[in-house]
Amino acid sequence: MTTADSIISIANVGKKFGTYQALHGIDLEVRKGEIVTLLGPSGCGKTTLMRLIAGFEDVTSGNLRIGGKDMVGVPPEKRPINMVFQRYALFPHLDVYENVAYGLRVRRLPAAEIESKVRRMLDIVQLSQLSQRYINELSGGQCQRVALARALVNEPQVLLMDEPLAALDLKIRQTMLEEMKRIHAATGTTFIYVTHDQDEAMILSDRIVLLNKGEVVQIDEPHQMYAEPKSLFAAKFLGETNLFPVRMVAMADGSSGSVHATGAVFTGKQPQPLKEGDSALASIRPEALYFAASERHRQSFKARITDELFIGSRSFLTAQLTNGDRFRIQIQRGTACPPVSPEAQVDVFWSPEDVSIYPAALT
Amino acid sequence: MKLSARWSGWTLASPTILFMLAFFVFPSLFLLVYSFWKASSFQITPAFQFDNYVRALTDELFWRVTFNAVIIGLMSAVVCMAMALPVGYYLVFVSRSRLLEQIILVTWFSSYLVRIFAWRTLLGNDGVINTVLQSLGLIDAPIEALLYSRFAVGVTLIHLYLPYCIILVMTAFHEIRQDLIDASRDLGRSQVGAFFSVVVPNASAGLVGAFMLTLIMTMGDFVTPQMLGGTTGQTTGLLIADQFRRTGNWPLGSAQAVIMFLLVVLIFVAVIVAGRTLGFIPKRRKQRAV
Ligand SMILES: Nc1ncnc2c1ncn2[C@@H]1O[C@H](COP(=O)(O)OP(=O)(O)OP(=O)(O)O)[C@@H](O)[C@H]1O
Ligand SMILES: [Mg+2]
Repeated sequence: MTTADSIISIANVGKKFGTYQALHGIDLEVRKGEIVTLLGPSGCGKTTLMRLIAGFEDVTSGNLRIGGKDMVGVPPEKRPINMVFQRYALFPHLDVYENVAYGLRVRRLPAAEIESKVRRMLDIVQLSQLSQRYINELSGGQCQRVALARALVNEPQVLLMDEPLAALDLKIRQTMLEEMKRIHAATGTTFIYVTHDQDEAMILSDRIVLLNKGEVVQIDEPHQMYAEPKSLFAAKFLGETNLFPVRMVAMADGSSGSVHATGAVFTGKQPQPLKEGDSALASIRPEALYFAASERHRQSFKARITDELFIGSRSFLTAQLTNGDRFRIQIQRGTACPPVSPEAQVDVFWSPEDVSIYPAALT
Repeated sequence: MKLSARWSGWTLASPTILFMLAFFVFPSLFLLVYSFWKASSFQITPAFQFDNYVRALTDELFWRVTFNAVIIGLMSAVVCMAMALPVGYYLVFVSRSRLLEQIILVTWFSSYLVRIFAWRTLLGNDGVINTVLQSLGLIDAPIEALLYSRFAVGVTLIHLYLPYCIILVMTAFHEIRQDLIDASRDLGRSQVGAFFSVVVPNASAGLVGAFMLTLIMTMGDFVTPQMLGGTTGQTTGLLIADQFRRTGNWPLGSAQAVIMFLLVVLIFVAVIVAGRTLGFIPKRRKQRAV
C-alpha cells in the first residue's frame, strides 16, 4: 500500500538479537505529517522498532525505506530523522542553549541563523529564561522540553519520541501533551511516538500501532481501535472490558451467536473465525451496559449489584451474574442507577453492536 | 550512641587519611624539608639554603637526563593514550565484553622484571630482531641502537604501562552513557565526531587523570632506563635514586625530586590549558545564584 505521501515504509521487517527474535514481520506505512503511536506492553519491541528507524540497529530481514530511499547501511547521522530519547540523553557538558544548538552547529549553519533558530525554539518550549542553565540544574519537565527542542530545531522530516513523558507527573504530562499537539500543528513534522500509556496514545495519535511480542497486532485510528479491537489482546490492552465465557451456537435465524452459562445470549462482531461449539469470550466495555432497554440495547441478563466504586465524574459498579461471574458497569455521575443490594436482581441491557466475540484459547 | 554525620564521616575516612598522612604527606614534607638541608662529606645538617637547587639546576647532566625523562615520559604517555583511547572505546561501547577486559588485566600479572628482560631479549645485539634481520641479510652487523637507547626505554615503558592506562581510560568511559553517543550521532555527528564532541569532554577529568598518571609513572620509572637506557637513555629517576642509594646526598636528591614534582605540575597545567583551548575540557561556569 505504498502511497505517494508515505514517508516511512516498513515491509516485513524482522530483528534478531543473537538468537532472540525481538521483532518479526512488521509492516507499517507512516504518512507525512501523521502522528503514529507505537503502543504495547513492556518488552514488546517498541524501542527496538524506533532504533531500527533511527539507524542505531540494522534490520535483520525485510525492507525499511525513508522518503523512498532504502536505509540499509545508512548510519543514523545520515537519516532525515531526529529522536527524543527515553531518558533524554541531554549533554551534561553543555548548557541548554548549546544543547539545542548542537545539531545546527554540526551542520555548520551561519552563526546568525543558529542564533535565531535556537532562540525561536527556546521560545516555543518556553525555556528562554533558562538558556544558560546546565542540564543538572533543570527539573524533569524542563529536561523533557530541552530534549524536544534539541530534536525539533533541526526540522527533521520525522521526529521519533521514546516514552518522552514517562518520567513526568500527571499534571506536566497533560500540559506537555497539549504542547506537543501544538508543536505538531505548527511544524507539520511527522511524529512517531512510543508509549505504553494508552491515554497518551489516544489523545495524541492519528493512528495507533498496537504491538505484542514483537508483532503488529492492529493498526487503526484510536476511535476505531477502541470500538472494534480485532483481537482479545487489543480489547484487553486498550481500555477496560468485561469478558464472559461463552459457547458458540447457531441462532434461530441461521446467524452465529453465543450463549453464556446463565443462558444469556450474546451476538456481535467476530473479528476472528469461530465455529459452532467453540468456547469463546464475549467482550463488552463497562460503559456499554445500561439499566434500561432501548431499541439498540435489546439484549439483557439479570445481575445483582454488589459494590460501587466512585471516582468523581463516574462510578464503577461491580455486578454479579446468577452463576457468580463478576463484571463492571460504568455510569456517569447523575445517571439514575439501582442501589447496591446483594439481594435485588436487576436487568442489564446492551447492544449487540457493542459486543465482540473472540476465540477463548489464544490471546 | 549515635555519631553525628560529620563525626561518622571522619571515622569512616580515618584509615585512608592516616595511611595518606603516614606514607604520602609526611614523606613528601620530609623531602621538601631535606631539600633545603646541607650535605657535606656524608654529613647531613639541618639548614635553610638553596644550594641544592642551584647545584641541581646548574648541572648539565641533570638537564640532560631530565630532558630525557620528560621526552620519554611524554612520548610514552601520548602513545599509551593514543592506543588506550580506541581500545577503551571498543571495550566499553562496542564489544561490552568483560572477558576482554580481564585478558588485559591478565597481561598485567606477569612480573615487571620479566617483561623488561623480555624486551632485552628482543632488542639486544644477539636478540630476536637483530638475529632475524641479519639472517635475512638485511643488515651486516647488529643494530646496537635498538637496545640501550631512548627508543628501547620508550617501547618497554609503553608495554609496561599500557594496561594500566587502558584501565584508567575505561574507568573514565564507564561514566558515559551510551545514549549520549546515540544522541550525538542522531544529531548528525559521525562516530569519530561523537567521540570528540561528547565522549571526550564528558570523560575529560578521568582522561586527564589517566594521562597524568601514566606520565608520572613512565617519567619516574628508573628501573627500565637502568636496564635498557644505556648512557643516552638515562632519566632523572635514576639520577635521584643514585643520590639516595649510592652518593648518600639526600638533600640534593630531595631538591631534584621537588624540581621533578614542579615539572609535573607544570605539565598538568599545560595539559588543562591545552584541553580548554581545544574545547576538549568543558569550561564550567560557576553556578550563578538565581
Ligand atoms: N541489544 C539487545 N540485545 C538483546 N536483546 C535485546 C536488546 N535490545 C532489546 N532486546 C530485547 O528485545 C525485546 C524488545 O525490547 P524493547 O526495548 O524494544 O522493548 P520495549 O517495547 O521498548 O519495552 P519498554 O516498554 O519496557 O521500553 C526485549 O525482550 C528485550 O529484552
Ligand atoms: Mg522501550
